[in-house]
Parts: sequence; structure tokens; C-alpha cells
Amino acid sequence: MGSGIPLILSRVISRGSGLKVSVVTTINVSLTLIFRSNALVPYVALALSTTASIASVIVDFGFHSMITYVLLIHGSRPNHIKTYIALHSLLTAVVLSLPYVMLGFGSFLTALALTSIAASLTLGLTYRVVRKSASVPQI
Amino acid sequence: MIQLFFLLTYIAVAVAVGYAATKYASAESVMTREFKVSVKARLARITSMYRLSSLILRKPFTYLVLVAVVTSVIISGLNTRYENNLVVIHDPSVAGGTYDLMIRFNGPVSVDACVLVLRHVNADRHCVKYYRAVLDQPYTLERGRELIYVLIGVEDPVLRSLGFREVLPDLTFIYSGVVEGFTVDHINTGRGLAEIRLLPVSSDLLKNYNMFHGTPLVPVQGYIGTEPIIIPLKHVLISSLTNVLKLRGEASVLVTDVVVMGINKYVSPTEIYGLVDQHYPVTEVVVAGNASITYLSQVRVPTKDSIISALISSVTASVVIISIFSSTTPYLRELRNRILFMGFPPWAITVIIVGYTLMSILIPGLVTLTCVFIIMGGVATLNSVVTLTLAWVVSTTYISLRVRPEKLITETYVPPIPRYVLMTSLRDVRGLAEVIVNLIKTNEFFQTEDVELKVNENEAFIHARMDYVDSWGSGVDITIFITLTEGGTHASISSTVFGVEEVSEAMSRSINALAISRIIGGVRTWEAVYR
Repeated sequence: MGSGIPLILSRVISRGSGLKVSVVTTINVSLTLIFRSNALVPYVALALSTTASIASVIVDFGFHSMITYVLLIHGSRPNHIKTYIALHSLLTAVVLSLPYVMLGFGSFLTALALTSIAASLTLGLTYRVVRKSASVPQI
Repeated sequence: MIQLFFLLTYIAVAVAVGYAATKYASAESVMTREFKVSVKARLARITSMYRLSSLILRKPFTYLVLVAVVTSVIISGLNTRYENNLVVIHDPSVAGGTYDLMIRFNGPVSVDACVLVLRHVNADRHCVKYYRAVLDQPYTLERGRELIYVLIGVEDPVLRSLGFREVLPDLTFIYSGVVEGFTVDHINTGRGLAEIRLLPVSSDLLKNYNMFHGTPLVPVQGYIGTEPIIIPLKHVLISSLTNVLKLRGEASVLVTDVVVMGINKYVSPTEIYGLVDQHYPVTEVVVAGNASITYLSQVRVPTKDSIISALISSVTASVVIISIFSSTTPYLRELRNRILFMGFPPWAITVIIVGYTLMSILIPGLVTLTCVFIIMGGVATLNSVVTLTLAWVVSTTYISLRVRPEKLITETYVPPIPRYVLMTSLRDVRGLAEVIVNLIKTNEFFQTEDVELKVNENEAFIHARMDYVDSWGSGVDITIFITLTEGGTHASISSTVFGVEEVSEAMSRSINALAISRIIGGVRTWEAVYR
């Protein structure tokens, strides 16, 4: 089952709307940073990107819940699901952090850390709800 | 006896009035109760909608919506760029060679501003100083009870231009409201009464006196078209700077406008604005020379980049909010179905959603806008307003459309009418049958493949198979029964459209109509002629 995680991830990404939300937000944040006229803009934009990382997970909430549920009832080990969550969060975070490359590597890493934490916490919460209720939850 | 009669009458009247009062009270109480029930029902519905909006508001995803709105509005405000309003007017009357400069300040500033300006323009010129104050609390002239709204302090050369060649004595003012040569009056300044002397001045001269090219000495309050509207001169007192500042109770020399005439080199309004504005708040810098007048004012307008930034922020906020809302759609649809079952009207969910977005997007957005206005100013607020409005409208429209109730009326398949009953007043069954056969055979839209006719005494039967000439392999099969009744004859027409290939609904309707309408129309005409 563990070897199937990349395949599941690719399916989730291709069928879900989360990556599309991330890409659109990345483009907008990039433009905002290019046209910025205030030193505070990157910090506020970082807050917006973090919110967008949570939103990109929530937009596919039902999909993620179902995938997690199916993985659980098919006997996937928790580590496999956690790997899936980590990979998905990292991918979302990388896409959302790309605009901060233009501000320097440090900014990129900060953005990467914040967005990946936000995404993984949201996905982790979904996983916990599914595991506790043994059903597909609704938002 | 008569007493008994009156007593009975009183009792009867009392009983009647009592009965009427009881009836009225009971009727009123029913009406009041109905009214109360109606109002309570409406109030209950409104309260329920509010509670449902609050229920959605308490969901955790609202926090995300809140953060997205607030951050987008702040980014939009922070990314604001503006430029000062610059207007250049070509005026051939302005002489070339030298330049004139006027600086208007936001309020009274130190006279040292003149030194700063002269040092920058590096000109060995005189700086003409003006003190023009528009009073919030007007002064009152005691004699005529006239209110004074404007005090103007000018230098001696200006007074000479107004016809006063000698230096004005202490607390002496020129005023267009007096006609006598020298009038003593008292003025109430709010701090106390002061004795002043008034000298008359020509209203026309004062009205037309410009302290700079096209700028009147009396402060302009507005414009009708290009015509400036100034304060009526009976509310204006003019004197030397010393007198006006003394009346105002100012200890130091202050100015509100400075003018430097005849500068030999070009003066950049932007440079002078930037330099002076660092020390004193500038309202407007005007440079006249070389057949043009340049106005650089404090009025700030957002740049194109700024508006683009606001639109980008709107899109970002909308994308984030819409993505959050799209995940809540199943929940909201379930909520909608439940409230519909409870008897709420179909528009209730829209009201609930709009209420929710008002509370989650618009109200926090307005609070943020207030902060943006206080911290960053009006232009940044304008940018943020664009972001907030677009984000709210787009998000509300999206979620309202997603959760609106399905249509209660649906379009179902209606097959073409296969049956028609034609009633005539005539009793000739055979004649009618023959007419119908003739009509079938002469229908130019069809080629008759087969017609069968059988007539009994009181009834007739016709069967026809007709091919539609405009489409190969399709046609109509018609069966007609004609029966004689007491009132006349009834022709019952049944038709079936056939086709080698699948015949569309529209095509089927069309073929049917072409076949039946010819029979109906022909019979009606025949009936009219035969009668």
C-alpha cells in the first residue's frame, strides 16, 4: 500500500481543485510582490499564503476525507497516511512559497515552513476526524 | 309607573351597551391576537434566519474567510501608490522670461517658510506674504451685527494696490460694508470685545483683485463651472499682517500663502513641493511663466499600478474565499433542504447566505477599512474599498448561486397532440367524409400513400397514410371517425407521426400540425359555405 501513495497523490492532485487554488494564489501573490510599494506587504502576503494553503486543503475536504477513509478501511498503516499527508502538504507549500524566492532564500524557507505546517495540520485534522468517527465527515 | 319605565329603559340600554362593549372587546382581542400571531410569525422567521446565519458564522471556516478578507484589504491598502494632482494650463497672457511662484499652505505657518523658499529658488526677490484665515467661529461687528468669516492680512504694497497709500493705524481694517470715511466699531472675537476702525473699500476692486495669476485675494469657496465663488465681501475684513495677527491673538508672524514674483530661472513645482512640504504642510504650489500655469496640489490620486494591485488583491481574496465556500456547499445545501422542509420560503437561504457574508466579510472588512483610513489615509482606503467590494460581491454571488433552491417547475416531455375532436353543426356524414378525403389528398405538404374511406348510415371511417414531402422516410398516419349526434357531426382525428429514423420532437409537432390543420381549416370553410 505504501508504494501506492505517490499514485494516489497524483490522482488527488489531478482531480482535486487544491492545486489550482494554490497556483492562482501563487500568481496573484507574485504580482502583488512585484508591484509592492510597502515593506510590510511580504509579511501580510505571507499570512494570505498561509490562509490559502489551508483553503487549498479545505476546497477538497470531501475528497481528502474519502481518500483517507478508503485508505483506512483498506488497511493502510498510519505511517503511509502520514506520508501521504506530508507529501501533499509539501507540494502545496512549495507551490505557494514560490513567489517568496524573489525575496531571498530565507523568505522562501519561512514561507515553505508556514504553509506546509498549515496544510499538514489541516490534513492531519481531517485524518484524525476520519479515524475517530470511522466515517467520511462533513465540514 | 313612569319611573319603572325609565328604570327598565336604563337597564335595557345598559345591557345593550354592555353587550356591544363585550362583543367589541372580544372582536378586538381576536384581531389583536391575529395581528400578534402574524407579527410574531414574521419576527420568528427573521430571528430564525439570523440564528441560522450565526450558526454558519460559528463554523471554523469563517475564521479563514475573515483572515483572507482582512489580509487582502490590508495588502491593497499597503500597495497603494498615489501621485499629486498636476495640472498645466496654457495661458498666453503669462509673460515669458521670468517665473512667478505661489505656495499655499494647509494652515498658518511660520514666516520662515519664505526664507526657505527664497533660498531654494536662489532668487534675490521679495517674498509677498499673505495671512488668509477662514474662521470656524465667526467674529461679530457690534454696530451692524454683521458676521465676519474671513480675515485677510496683507503687506503694504497690496494695500497700496487697493487704494490705501498710507500705513494703516493700529487695529484699522478695510471693509466693503461701510460707506463713511472712518467708522469706529467693536468686534466680538469670542475672547472679548475689541475696538476697531473701519475704512471703506471698493467692492469691485476687492472682488477683482488677484494675489496671483487667476487666484483671488478673497478665499475661493467653490466653483460654478470655471467661475470662482468667493465669500460675500460684507463678511471679509482686510488689514496689514500685524493688525490681523493682533486681532487673532497670534504672538508670532504667520503666513498662509507666499508669492514670489519675477524669478529668473525655471522653478520645478514638484521640487519645491517636495522641499517645502518636508517642513510645512503644503496645499498647492503654482508656477506661472512661459505662457503656462502649472498647479501641483495636495490632492492625491491613485496610480494605475495601485488599481491593478487592488484588483489582484480582490482576485486573491475571492479565490481563497470561494475555495472555502465551495467545500461548504454540501453543508449549506443540506441546511437549505432542511429549512425548506420547515416551511421557509425558497429565498430564505439566499437571505441567510447574504447575512452570513455580511457578517463574515463586509463587517470585518469595514473595520479593517477604518483602520486603513486612520493609518494610511484616504487613497489607501479607496484601494481597499475596491478590494473589499469586489471580494464580497464575487463571493456572495458564487455561494448564493451554488446553494439556491432548484426550480420547482421543470420542463417535462410533452408529446405532440395525437388527437383532435372536430365538431360541426352539419348532419351530412358522407359529405363531410368526402371533403376530408379531398383535403387529405390535396395537402401539398404530403404525398398520399393510401386513403381508405368507409361510410355507414350514421358514421364514417377514414384512414390515411401520408408521406411528408420535405423529409424522406417520415410521414403521418391519420385515423378519423365521424359520428352523427343530435347536435351535428363529430370528427375524432387521431394521428401518429412515423419516421425511418428517429423523428425529433420539433419535427413531429410540425408534421402533425401540417396534417391536422389542413383538415380542420378545410372543414370549417366547407361548413360555412355549405350552410
